[in-house]
Amino acid sequence: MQLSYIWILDYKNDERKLGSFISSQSKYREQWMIMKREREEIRPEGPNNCIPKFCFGFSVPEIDKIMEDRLPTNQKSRLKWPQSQAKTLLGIDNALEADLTGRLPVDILSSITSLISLREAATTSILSKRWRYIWRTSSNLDLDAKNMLGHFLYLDHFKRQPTQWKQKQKGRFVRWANHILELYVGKNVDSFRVEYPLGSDHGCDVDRWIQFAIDMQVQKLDINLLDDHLSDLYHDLYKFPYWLFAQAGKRPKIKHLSLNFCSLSIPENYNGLNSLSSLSLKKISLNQENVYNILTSCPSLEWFSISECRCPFRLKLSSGCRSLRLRHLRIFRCEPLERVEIHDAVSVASIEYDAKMFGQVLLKNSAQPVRLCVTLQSDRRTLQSDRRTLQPDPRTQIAYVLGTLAKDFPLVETLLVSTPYAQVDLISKHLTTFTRLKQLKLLGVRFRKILLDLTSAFLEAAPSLVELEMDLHLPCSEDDRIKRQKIIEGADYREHKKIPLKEYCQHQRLKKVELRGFSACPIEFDLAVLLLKNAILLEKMRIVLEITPYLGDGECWVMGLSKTKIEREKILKILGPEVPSTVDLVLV
Amino acid sequence: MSSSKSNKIVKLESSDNKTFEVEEAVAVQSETLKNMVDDGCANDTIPLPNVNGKILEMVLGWCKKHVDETVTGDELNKYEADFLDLDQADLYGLLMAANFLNVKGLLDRVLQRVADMIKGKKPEEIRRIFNIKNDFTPEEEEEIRLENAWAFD
Repeated sequence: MQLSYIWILDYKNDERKLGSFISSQSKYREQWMIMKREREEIRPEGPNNCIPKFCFGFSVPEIDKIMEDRLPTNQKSRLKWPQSQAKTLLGIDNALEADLTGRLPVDILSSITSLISLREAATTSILSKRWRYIWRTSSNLDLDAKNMLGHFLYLDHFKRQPTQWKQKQKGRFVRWANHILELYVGKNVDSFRVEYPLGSDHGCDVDRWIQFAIDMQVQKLDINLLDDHLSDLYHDLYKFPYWLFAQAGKRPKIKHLSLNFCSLSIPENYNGLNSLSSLSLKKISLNQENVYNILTSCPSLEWFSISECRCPFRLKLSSGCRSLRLRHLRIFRCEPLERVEIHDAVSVASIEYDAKMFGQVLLKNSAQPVRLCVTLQSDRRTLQSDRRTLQPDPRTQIAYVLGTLAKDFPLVETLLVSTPYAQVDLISKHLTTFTRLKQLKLLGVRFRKILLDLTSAFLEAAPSLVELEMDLHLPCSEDDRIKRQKIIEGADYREHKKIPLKEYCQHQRLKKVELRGFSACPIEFDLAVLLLKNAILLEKMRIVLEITPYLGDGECWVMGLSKTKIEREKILKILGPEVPSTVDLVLV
Repeated sequence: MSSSKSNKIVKLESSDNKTFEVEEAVAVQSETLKNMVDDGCANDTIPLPNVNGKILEMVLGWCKKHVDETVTGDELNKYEADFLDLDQADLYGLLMAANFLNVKGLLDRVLQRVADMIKGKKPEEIRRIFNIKNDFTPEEEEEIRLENAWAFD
C-alpha cells in the first residue's frame, strides 16, 4: 500500500476514522505518526492570528499598495519580518524629567493605544487620570477571544465541547462585546474586527456591532465567524446585513471587507458597498448570481479573494458591460468549482488558483497576469461533491506547470508554486519555457526524491530567472537524521555524496537564492551545493532556518524554527568550502 | 509648468534660532509645510517655535532620505530602523515634531516605536518607562480594576 493511499481520505472529516484504521495496521503506524506530527507542525489553517504573519508582497506595486492599505494600523508590523523585541529603552531618571507623556496631546496618546491590543489598552486605564479613558478612543477594535480572555480560542478544543457549554461561552462573548461598545467614546474607528464562533442566533447582536462600526465610519471590516461545527450538515449561518450600508444621505466609506463563515447575498448593482476596494470571502456559499451581484455592486473592487467557498462547477466573473477593475484574484479550495471565466478584467495582474483548475482559468478580453500562484493538491477525493471524482494527481499537476502553464500565461514574471501536501515521485521532462519569468518561489516543498530534478527542471524552463526562493518542508526520516548528525558532527560533507553536477543544467542569469525551512537534511545540502555550483552568475544565497508556510494573498506564517536544534556555525562550516568566491552566503 | 518651482528653497527656523534650508520637494513631505507652500506663505523664513534645532535636523534628514531616488528599498528600511534608535527625550520630541509637521511615514514609525515600548508591560512598568505619576487614590484604583476586571486577569 502506497503512502498516497492515506491522502485519499479527507483530512478534516475522516481523521479520526483514518487514525483508528491506521493504528490498527501496525505496518503503517510509524508513517502515520510521522505524518500526523508534521501536519500538526505545519497546518495552513491553525488557530487564527496566533502565529506572526508576514506579508511579503506581490512584486506588483499597485497590489502591494492595496495589501498595505488593507492592514489595520496595529498590524502594519506584518510588513516587516518579525524580529526580536525592540530594545527596551531604560526608564528615565525620575529626578530629572517630569512625565513626558504629559506633554503629548491626547490624540497622540490615543494613536499609541490604537497600536496595542485592546486588552493591553484597557489596562492603561489605571496609569493615571489622564490615561483613564484614552483606551476607549482606540481606532482599532478587535473583538475576539484573545482580547476578552487573554488567550486564544483553541477552535479544535472548542468544537468538541457540549453544546450547552458552547452556548454559554458565546453568550459571555456577546455580553463582553456589547459592554466594550457601550464604553467606546471615540469618534472614528478605522478597523473593526470580530472573531468568534457565532451564528444566526446571535445575529441581532452582530448586526448591532456592524451598525456601530458603520456609524464610526469604519474602513476595514472583518467579520470572522469561526466554524465550530464538527460535521458538515446545514448550519444556521449569520446573514451579513449588507442593507445597513446604504444609509440615506451618507456615502459609504468602507474599503475593505473580509467575511468568514456567514451568508452573503446582495442584490444587483447595490450601491451601499460601492466603495469597496478589497473583498475576502471564506466559507461562504456562492452561486453565479451572487458573484455577478457582488461584481456589479463593487465597481472599484481591485482585490477579490475566495477560499473554501461552495461554488458551482463553473463561475463567470463579469459585471456585465462594465470592465472589472480587479488586480488581484485568488480562488482557493472552492468546491466543486472546476472552471472560471474572467471577463473584461483589463488590469488583472495577479491570479492565485488551485491546480485542479489547470487549463480551466480562462481570460476573456482581459489582461495577462504578471504574477501567478498555483497551489498543487494532494490526491484526495472530495467528499463534498456528488461526483466522487479523484482529483488530478500531483504528478500531472507538476507536469502541467512545467509543460503547459507558460503557454496559458505567457507574460508571467513572478510564479509561486505551492505544494502543501503533495507527494511526487517522478517528473516529466517536457518543458515549456517561461520567457519572462524573473522570480520563482517554490513553497511548501516536500519532495525529497525529485528535489534536485525538480529544481533543475524549473531552472531549465526559466532561463531569465533572477530570483529563486524555496520554502522547504522536508520530512526527515530516522535514516536521514542519523546521516545528518554524521555530517554535522564530522562537518564533512564531501564524503557524503557526490552530486553529478553535470547532469543538472546550468543557469546563466540566476542571481539570488533563498532557502527557507532549512533543517540541514542531507538532501538540502545537496540542493544548496547544486545551486551554488550551477548558477553561474549567483551573487547571494540566503539560508533561513524558519519555516514559513504560504497562506495565500501574499502572506505567510512565520512558524519559527523547526524542532531540531541546528547550529548555524556548523552549517556554515559545511557549506563554506563549496561556496564560490563570487557568492555571498548569509545564514539567518 | 514652471521648472523653477523644483529648485525652490524653503527656509525654516527652529525654536533655538537655527536656520535650515531645504529644497521644496523635501519640505513638502510635511503636510503642514506643504500647505504653507501651496498657500504662498513660504517665501520668507518659516518659524517653527515648537521644534528645536536638533529634532528639526533629524526630521529634515528623514525627509531628504525619502526623496532621494538613489536610495534602495533595503537601504531605506535599514535607515528607518536605525533612525529610531534614540533616547526617550529625543523620541518624544520627534513625536511632537512629526505630529506638528504632519510627516506621515515618520509619525507612523515613531508611534509604533512608542507602542512597542509598552506592549506586554504591566501598568507599573509603563508608569516607570514614561514616568507617569499615579494620581489615583487606592480606592479609585481599585474601582478601575473592578470596572475593567476582564482586562486585569
